[in-house]
Amino acid sequence: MHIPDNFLSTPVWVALDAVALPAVALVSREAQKLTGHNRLPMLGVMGAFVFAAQMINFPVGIGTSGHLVGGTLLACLLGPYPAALVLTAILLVQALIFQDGGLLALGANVINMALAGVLAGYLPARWLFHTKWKFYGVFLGGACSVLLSGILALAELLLSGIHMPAALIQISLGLFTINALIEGAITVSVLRAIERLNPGLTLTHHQNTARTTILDWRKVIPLVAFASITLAAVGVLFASTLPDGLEHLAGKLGRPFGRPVFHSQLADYQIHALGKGWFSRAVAGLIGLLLIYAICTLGGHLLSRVRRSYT
Amino acid sequence: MRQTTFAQWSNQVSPVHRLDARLKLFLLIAFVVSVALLRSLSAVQLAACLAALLAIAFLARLPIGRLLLASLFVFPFVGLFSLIVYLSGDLPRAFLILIKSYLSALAVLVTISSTPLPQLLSAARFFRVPALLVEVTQLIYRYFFVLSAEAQTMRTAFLARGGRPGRRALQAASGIIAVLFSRSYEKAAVLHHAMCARGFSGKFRAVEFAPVTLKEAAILAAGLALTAALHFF
Repeated sequence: MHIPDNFLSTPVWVALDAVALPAVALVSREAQKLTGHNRLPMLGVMGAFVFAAQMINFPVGIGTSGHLVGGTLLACLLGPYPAALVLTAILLVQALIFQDGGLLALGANVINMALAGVLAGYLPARWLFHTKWKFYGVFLGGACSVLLSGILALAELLLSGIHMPAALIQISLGLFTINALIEGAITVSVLRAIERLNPGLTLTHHQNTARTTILDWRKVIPLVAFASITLAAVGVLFASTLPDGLEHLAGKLGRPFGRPVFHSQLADYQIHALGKGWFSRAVAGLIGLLLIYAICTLGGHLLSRVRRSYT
Repeated sequence: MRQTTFAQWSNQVSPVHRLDARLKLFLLIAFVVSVALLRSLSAVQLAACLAALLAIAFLARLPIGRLLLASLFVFPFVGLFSLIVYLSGDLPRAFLILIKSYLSALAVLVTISSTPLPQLLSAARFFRVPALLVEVTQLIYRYFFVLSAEAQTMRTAFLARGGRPGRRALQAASGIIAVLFSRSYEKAAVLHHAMCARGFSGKFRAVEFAPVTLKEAAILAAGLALTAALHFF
């Protein structure tokens, strides 16, 4: 599910990267605040642990095997922000060293798996953690996290103008569901085994000792805002790139090796392909995004200052 | 393991290895963006990209045959997505994307096998990537090999004791991960103590970059001009 480079259209990857950068900065700052003095070795080694654990195959019946993705497991063990940070780092290593996932598509992959995936995995697990349905919550978290990551990746590909036939989408959704159930089962099984070996290590422990894993709604709101802005921005750009002219032109120009070699293409296709409104709309969208980000940051600063003056 | 091969290659000595990591990272991103913005790829463009990448690999004294072989491992990742595009009935586009993705991946491969990862991450730090993220990435890279070797040993032990697929194997795999977790947890504590004992103050010391020389500025300008010129072939 790691999207490689060149599969997302330019407005989509640019918008997702533009959203992922400040979001990762926020997650990094929160992780720095929340974890203890030994956070660096702990986060690094835990990241390596999840990465290594992803290599272990789980036999899941009829000759097939799945593997752990680990977003929910990390969120249960470390808390949501450190988990998101560690998964971002894992994605970085995968893109650089293993060529699994593209460099420009990193923003998309981070949003799908590290941000949305961890949040979707953490919330159900957190809600049910102190009830007797604890492991159902963890199962639900694991399943939701993988399902959401998959659906987001699919949506981004669709937004990029890859027209999948309905049957293919159904098959992909079916595969995502199966993977999601497998992830839920593996997460529960691993978390049980870990708790058996190290009683009191997970969520409960963190909550009793420090405020490490308490998800502060004030801090979730910027994340949710970012997500909605991405969707809005990508949606606007998508709508503006859809007109048939561009599709036709892209189809015409899209033949590899088929184009005359020396042809002053920058003069014609750049302007045509980008369209009259496209470029300005994309720029406007990005400026809007930056403006909203600036307003959010400023508002956050003011709010925190007001709160500090009260206390 | 092929990833350690890259690590070995990245520690060689060559003019390319000596270049400023910031410059290489910047040029890598410029190249990948330039390739991503191409709406079509003529034979000349493809040849130019390949020639440029292989020339850099040659200057970096990398074994070109093995590098090309290693870069073929990208295809399973990229191929799956190309298959999706192909199944959506757009063969030329699937082909185009496949080749463009291969070029991007080859560029990343050439960069990481001519730059040690700590340097590359310090360059990322220079470009304002959060410090904690950079440091965690560095530790993950360092400990991944240790822990995956440990996981492999445990798996071998499981198989040597007569383990085979089935319901038990699911529990066994969970057990392996749980033990791996405990060992990682201990390792993190030991690592923390070791770091403290060596005067770790809570932050890694970043690699100090020498000021950019005139030669490097010229290389940067030339590289940027070439990546931009890709659109005019």
